[in-house]
Amino acid sequence: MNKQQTLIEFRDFSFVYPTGEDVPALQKINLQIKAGNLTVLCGMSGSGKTTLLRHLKPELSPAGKKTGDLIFANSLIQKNTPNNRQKIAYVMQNPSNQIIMDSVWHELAFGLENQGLKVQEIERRIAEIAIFFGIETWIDKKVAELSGGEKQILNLASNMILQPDLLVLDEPTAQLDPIARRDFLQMLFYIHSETGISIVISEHNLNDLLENADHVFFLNEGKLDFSGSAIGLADYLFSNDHPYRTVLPLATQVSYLPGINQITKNSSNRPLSIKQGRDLLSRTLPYKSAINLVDDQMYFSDNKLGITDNEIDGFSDEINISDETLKSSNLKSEKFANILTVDRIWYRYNPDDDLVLKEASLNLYKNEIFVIMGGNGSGKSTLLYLMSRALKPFKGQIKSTEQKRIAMLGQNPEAVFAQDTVLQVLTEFKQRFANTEQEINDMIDLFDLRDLLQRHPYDLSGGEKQKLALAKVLLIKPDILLLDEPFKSLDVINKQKIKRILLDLKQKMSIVIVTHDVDFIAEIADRCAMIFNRRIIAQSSTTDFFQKNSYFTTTTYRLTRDIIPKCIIYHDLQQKLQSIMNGEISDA
Amino acid sequence: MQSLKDYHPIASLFYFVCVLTCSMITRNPIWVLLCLIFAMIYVIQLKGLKYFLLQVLYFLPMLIFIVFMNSYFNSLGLTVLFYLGKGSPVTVENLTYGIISGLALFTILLWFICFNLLLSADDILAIMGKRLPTIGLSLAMIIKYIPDTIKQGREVLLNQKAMLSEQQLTGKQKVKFATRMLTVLLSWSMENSLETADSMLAKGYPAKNRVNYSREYFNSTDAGLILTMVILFLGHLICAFSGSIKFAYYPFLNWTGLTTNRILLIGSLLSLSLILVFPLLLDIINWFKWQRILKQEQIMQQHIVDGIIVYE
Repeated sequence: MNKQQTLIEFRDFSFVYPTGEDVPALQKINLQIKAGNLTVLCGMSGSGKTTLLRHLKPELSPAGKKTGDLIFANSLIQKNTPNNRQKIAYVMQNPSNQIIMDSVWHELAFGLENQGLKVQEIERRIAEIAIFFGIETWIDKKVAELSGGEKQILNLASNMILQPDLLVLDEPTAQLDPIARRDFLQMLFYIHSETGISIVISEHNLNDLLENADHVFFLNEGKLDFSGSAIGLADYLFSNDHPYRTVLPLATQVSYLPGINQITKNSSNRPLSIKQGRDLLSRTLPYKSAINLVDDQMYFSDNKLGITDNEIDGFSDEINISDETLKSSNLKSEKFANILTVDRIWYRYNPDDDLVLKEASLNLYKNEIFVIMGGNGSGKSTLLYLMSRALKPFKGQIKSTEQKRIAMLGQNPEAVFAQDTVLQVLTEFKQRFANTEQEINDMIDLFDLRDLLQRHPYDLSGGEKQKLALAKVLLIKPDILLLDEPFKSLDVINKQKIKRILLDLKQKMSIVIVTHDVDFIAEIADRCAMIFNRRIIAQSSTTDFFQKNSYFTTTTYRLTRDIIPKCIIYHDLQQKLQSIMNGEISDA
Repeated sequence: MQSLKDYHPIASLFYFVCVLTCSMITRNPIWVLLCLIFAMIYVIQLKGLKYFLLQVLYFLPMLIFIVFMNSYFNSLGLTVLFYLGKGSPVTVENLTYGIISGLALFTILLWFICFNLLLSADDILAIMGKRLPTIGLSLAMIIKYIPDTIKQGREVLLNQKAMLSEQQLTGKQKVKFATRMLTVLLSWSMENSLETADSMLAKGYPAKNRVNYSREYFNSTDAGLILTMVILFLGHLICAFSGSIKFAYYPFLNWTGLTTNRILLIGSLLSLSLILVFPLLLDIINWFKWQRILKQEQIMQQHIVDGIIVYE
């Protein structure tokens, strides 16, 4: 490890933003970034990750008071390198905003043009990078035609074309859906293993990333709390009971559960991927078949046959009912009162376009959280806009039983900020919706916005923006709340907070959520559905929904499928393991 | 076929500069009609008859308007046909002038249709970038920025509507709503462009020795096209302006240049026709080339026996 060359070294480095009220954004950081490593920088939002990363790229380092030393290896920052070669590349979070030019080839050429290279040289570099990244087919495209994931791959390519020695990535997948994220990370790992380039990446989702990391740094409130291996980080977080431990890959978390921890404690091989986790579980739980037999009245293997109506009546405490069952049975009690019906709607954006939705139907019940999932561009957001009446269906109807107030919050909270301060954003509709001072103050406290009231909404972090927008929409006092990807930029702590808020709100309203965040949604949703082939399919209770899927399902379920039955969320798994360890199940 | 598209954008652009100048420099009816006829044929060849007829339909009101305005405000000309209202005479002369002016305008319109089809925004950028790099760069950024902003504008509109779904807006509220939407869009896109600026800095902009890369190569055929055009164009200008192009509408229609040097007259008409027919000629030649290749392939097919080419 020590033989590797040090590229960048922080020695007692501290940094204070000019407006930072003397609270240092970085405090006495001591760290070394080694050549050839894939270094992961993690931490809560607001812990100073971006500030630290920006210091790695002198052109982008923020203005403020610096103390201590920041030392770059000579090879990295030699001034007047031949052709201004950019030795440090920097990829940011937003896929579209960092693209400069209009077309893919032009974007790739931009950095090379700055270096003043010859035409033949530029041509050769574009050709090799296009083939290496496998993007020759879209080299002629305009960037506006690319998807978010493709744009981010282009950003990676347009930086790699400069042949940097160090690649810095600041939450590059935060705005991508899971599939695009997977493609992007695979590309990144491929580049790392093929070229041996040094990479520093910050991420708030550590799945798939830690298993490939050579070194991990953990930042906490501007201080470097941990530096070492991925498993070292897990040990550190669990021994300190740090709330950030819930960000670790699920397989890693499982290995710390009582009963399993005893087995893994002394080995350095804690699992980081699903596969390793499943290996561990099946090794530690030799009574696998016994568990299957005694679990509830339902055999796990029977699930494949589907659940009949009679069986469902047994689960009275859960909303465990599919639409068809509801219609046929007499369960149409107060609890399942229809509040909104989407009745066979058709929609297309332009007369000549293909249909986005065709004969899509769904029923929304009172006081439930209904979650819609589906691929990119499958029409999830469109469906929400239709339900909010911002768009009108081309055919079919959206009916609500009585006059219901519907409010929707889209993917980008920026789209609802028209004022200069947080307080003004919140009080905009004060008269229109008769908000009292008390209500506004309650909302401010509920979402921890008290300290931010005089800030400009754009100066907030992603998570804070999301909370502000949610507070604003809730002040409209809707009966039906529609949320499009509300958890995208939230960290663990905030997610848990929003989870509690949403579960509280459920008492007063129905909530429809469109999201990719399967693991989180499984903890709060009453019913789930997918959009596929322009329709809403597989509407069913959450447990039912995730048990019937094998691939599009929660990480817990993928980890435990066929080993421990009926574990959809982490909490289930904890309970099941607890009872297995206590010997309850094998005794029964 | 769009043979002109195969040339370097500079060559294509130069061709259009030539034909547009030829179509604009004179109101001589023979010249105007000649340009019009070739423009028509070229548009039909590129976009089809239906499209062309549609353009005629769109332009007709404009033509009528031009003719009317000319006759109403211009009382020159000797051969009075009738009077418009209280004493603006409609004469054969001012009527002809109006029609020819209208048709000249239509010709220019048709050339621009061809221009649009054969030269993309990318081509213009390639030309601009070479000569005026900063403007070229700005244009490319604007072209990227426009669809982004439209998309964002749509998102802001939908989000604002969706947030307040049940509200029916009155006229005054609508204005307020629109202003608010613009504020949101403006601040949002400003915020976004800060990130673009960072990205430019990260990739080494501004740089002293920045070059401009274009994917187009300028080759000998392009040079050939430009050279041919220069010769024909200069020849045409010299012949035409030596007198033969002169045409007077008032007081009566009179082709004053007709009696000057006949050779120069024929020379100017010939060079103009050659300029105008050039892209059509290219298309025709290329079409025949294709036919020959197809025929050769057919013959080749006949020689293939069990997958082996057999020549007897």
